Formats: sequence, C-alpha cells, structure tokens
Amino acid sequence: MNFFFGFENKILKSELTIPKFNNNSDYNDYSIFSAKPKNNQWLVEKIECKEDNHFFFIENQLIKNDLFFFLAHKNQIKNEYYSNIKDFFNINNFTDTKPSAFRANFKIYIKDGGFSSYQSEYPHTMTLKNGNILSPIHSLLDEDSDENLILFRNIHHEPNNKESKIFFIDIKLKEILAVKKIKNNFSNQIEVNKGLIGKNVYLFSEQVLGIPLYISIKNKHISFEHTHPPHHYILSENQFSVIGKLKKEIKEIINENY
Amino acid sequence: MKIIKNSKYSKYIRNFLGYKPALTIINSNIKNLSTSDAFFWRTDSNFKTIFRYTDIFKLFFNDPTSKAEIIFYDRNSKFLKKIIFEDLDLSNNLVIDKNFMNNIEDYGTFYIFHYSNINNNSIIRNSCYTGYSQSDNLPSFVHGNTVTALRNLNDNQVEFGIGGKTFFKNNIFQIQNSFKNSKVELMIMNPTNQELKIIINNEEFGLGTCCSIIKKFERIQTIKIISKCYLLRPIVFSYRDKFLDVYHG
Repeated sequence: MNFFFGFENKILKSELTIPKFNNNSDYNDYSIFSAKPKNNQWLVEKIECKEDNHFFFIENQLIKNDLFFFLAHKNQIKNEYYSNIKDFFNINNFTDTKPSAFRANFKIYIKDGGFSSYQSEYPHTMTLKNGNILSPIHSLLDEDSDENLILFRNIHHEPNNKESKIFFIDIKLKEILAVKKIKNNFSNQIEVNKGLIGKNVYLFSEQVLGIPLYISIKNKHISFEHTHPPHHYILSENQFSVIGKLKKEIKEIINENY
Repeated sequence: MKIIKNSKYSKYIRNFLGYKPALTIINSNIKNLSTSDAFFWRTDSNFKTIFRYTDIFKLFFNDPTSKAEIIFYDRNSKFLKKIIFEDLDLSNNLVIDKNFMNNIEDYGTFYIFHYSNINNNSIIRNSCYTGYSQSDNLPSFVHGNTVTALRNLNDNQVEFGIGGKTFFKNNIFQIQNSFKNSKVELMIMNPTNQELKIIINNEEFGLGTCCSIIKKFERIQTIKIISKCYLLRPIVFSYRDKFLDVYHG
C-alpha cells in the first residue's frame, strides 16, 4: 500500500492529484482518507475533496505537514487500527503495482509564480523500518538559486513525532558540515545554505528512513525532485555489502566528530 | 540454477511467457558491467540541458582510476559525439547547449558509461539527473528513467536496446496525472532492440530502436500509452505561462 503527502511553508503551497486508476488503467471506487498522529494514536478522517471520474484533487487548504493520505473504503478502517497501527498501514493492495509503482502527482507552487512536481509515493514497507538515507546534495540543488530547501518526509508506523538528526557530511574531507533536527511523521523543511552545496557533500539520516526532496527557487521558477537511493546504483548481488560498507564509513565519521 | 536464472535467455523466456517479466535484458552472470539509462538532451526552443552525474566507482569502491564516457545520439539514434571525462568529482556537472552540440538545435539521447583500471566485480547503473532550462531560467530537474544500454567492461562492447518487451500482448502505461489545464510535451524513447508500434490516446506511430520523439498535447485529461515495451515511461514537459515543470511519467 502506498501513501501520499504534501508540504506547505510561507512561500510554497502544494497540491496532490491522486488517480483513481493504476498504471494499467484499472479503476477503483475508493475514497480518500488522511491520517496523523495525535496522543499516540492515529487520527483518521475521510477527506472531502474535489474529484472527477479519474482523479482526486487535494488542494492546498487540505494539506498540512503532519498529514498523509491514502485510498480506502470506509469499512476497511477498523477501530483497532488506531492503536494497532502496523495492520492499519496495510488495508488494501490496490496501490501495490508492478513494474511501475502507483503514484500521485505532488506539485509545489508559488502563488502567481512557477510550479514543479514529481510522481510521488511513500511505500508501506518503508514505514516499518528504521535505517539511514544517503543522498547527494549537489545533484539537485543550485548554488545560484535564491533559495534551496530539502523537504525530508518520514512516515513511520508508530503514531508519534519522535525526533532524529540529519547530517550534512563532506565524504572526501570526512567532516560534518551541519546537523539538523527532523521529526517522524512530518514533512520537514531543511534550509540549505550555499556553503553546503558541495560536490562531495551528502545528506545522511540517523536511524530514520524518509524521502529527501530537493527544492530550488529562482525568480519564482522552481525545481523539485528526489534523489535515487544508493541501491539504485549497484545492480549486482553485492549491492548490500558495498552500500553497507560506505554507510559504515559515514557512521564512523559521525562517531568520531559528533 | 542461478546461472540459468541470471542469463539473458531466461529473461527472454520469462518475457515471452509473460511470467515475472524482466524490465531489462541483462546477463547478470557477467560481473563487470556499466549500465546506463537513456537520457534526453534538448537544445531546441531555446533549451539547454544540465546533466549531473555521480562517479559511482569512486563513491562506492573508492576507486581512483575511474573515468566516465558520455555518448550522444540524435533523435534517430545516429551517433553524434562522445567525450571521456577524467579526474571526476563525486558529483559532476555538464552543460549541453547549442554550442556544445555543434550548433544543433534539436533533441536526442545520450548515455553514460563508467570504466576503471580496476575490476570492481559489480554491475553498476548510472541513473543521474537531467535539468532542462528554457531561456536561461532555473532548470527543472528529473532523475533517470529507464536502463537502456550497457558496456561490458571486460571487452568494452556496448549493447543498446536492453529494455524488456512482450512478444504478443500490448502493455498499457497510463500516466497518473491530470493534464486538463496543461500544455504538455512527452519525450519518449524506445529502450528495446526492435521498432515499437506505439499508440498514445488513439494516435499510432512507429519508433525505431533507441530513437526518440516529442509528442505535444493540449487540453486532454489523461494520457494512455500502449506498446509492447514493459515500461515506456515518458519525460513530461508541462508548461504554464512562462513557467516549466519537467518530471517522469
């Protein structure tokens, strides 16, 4: 099952276009629900949004940084799921598609300005695990932009806003350049100053998974995209040992310097 | 058993039968391959393309001897030029504009292969990021999309058109976005080793192996792409006023 999320800050607004069909053009009659953690339980609500025969349109006024959205039938939302959250997260399999993942269009925009989007999903399997995200800073940010941001989105099966850290590390110099706090189940905004946009600088998360999304803004034009996870780069069977070794080296930099 | 499962022929048979289809036809028994997505360059309509790529051998294998070769083709998959880059940073930047393309104002594809003096005994993929800037505005970035070519680092042979396809049944790829209020261009390339018959919203056309095409649409709500390719996923250029958004479908 896949989840969908948005983002808002003082300048940027967002909207989600969630399809009623999968890539193979099979349609469903699900509704849209939102969920957020409250008092260590999930607060689940049916969302009333614009829709047509093909899509749900979740506009900016319905989007909050602590919410995520999913497709379901009302009778699939059982009371026990509010505390028994691991099951809650796997209500139906309509969005479990191959070879292409089921995605919604996640667009950010500036009022009277530009817009940028990507085809977005947060897989259920990611909500069950902790780990380390390793992502290059230089690939998607722009030193010449007016503003550079990273949106780090986590969805975790436990209904809380536990805090963790994101490190900006120069892998070549083996130096920590900055440390930022983020929280679980939230669309976290990380401002990135130009000094951090180096060719050897990587973002590394401490025991938390999530999707790092890179935003540059210049003259009201926007670029918005995510990086590939490291296992995308190694296709052979040694991918986990190779990536594990690199992450171990980065953890050693953190242990020695922080 | 594993050798058979990893072979190209096993993947051809799976695709022929439609059983656990393979998106790419790679002989995974060879452990020294550099694979590449097909990336689009465009210099038409006052565009330039920004290409950002990682030195994979340096990042993952701490290999100081790595180099990158980038090979450019036109929209009909005719060879244009190739460049070898040495002394790479972990992250690298290439600006592809009209001057770089010898005054060609058009579009096509390019591929990146890494190689090294050391046998790293791995299959790597560079899926990189391409940014598209029109009229010198901020480029809109999109990540790589479909593995299309490989270089065998043992004998330096390059193989194109490794995208998986069905033999009889057509596949549908319906883009999961609404285009009702947009003017859009779809950049499509054929990642397979045979000409594809492609149908987009009832318009039918042929596209040769590794060739690319831009199709324009306006005021339509959904886009459905039918072909024998398992993953014919386009790059979408969406326009509103002077603003541009580029993403993969």
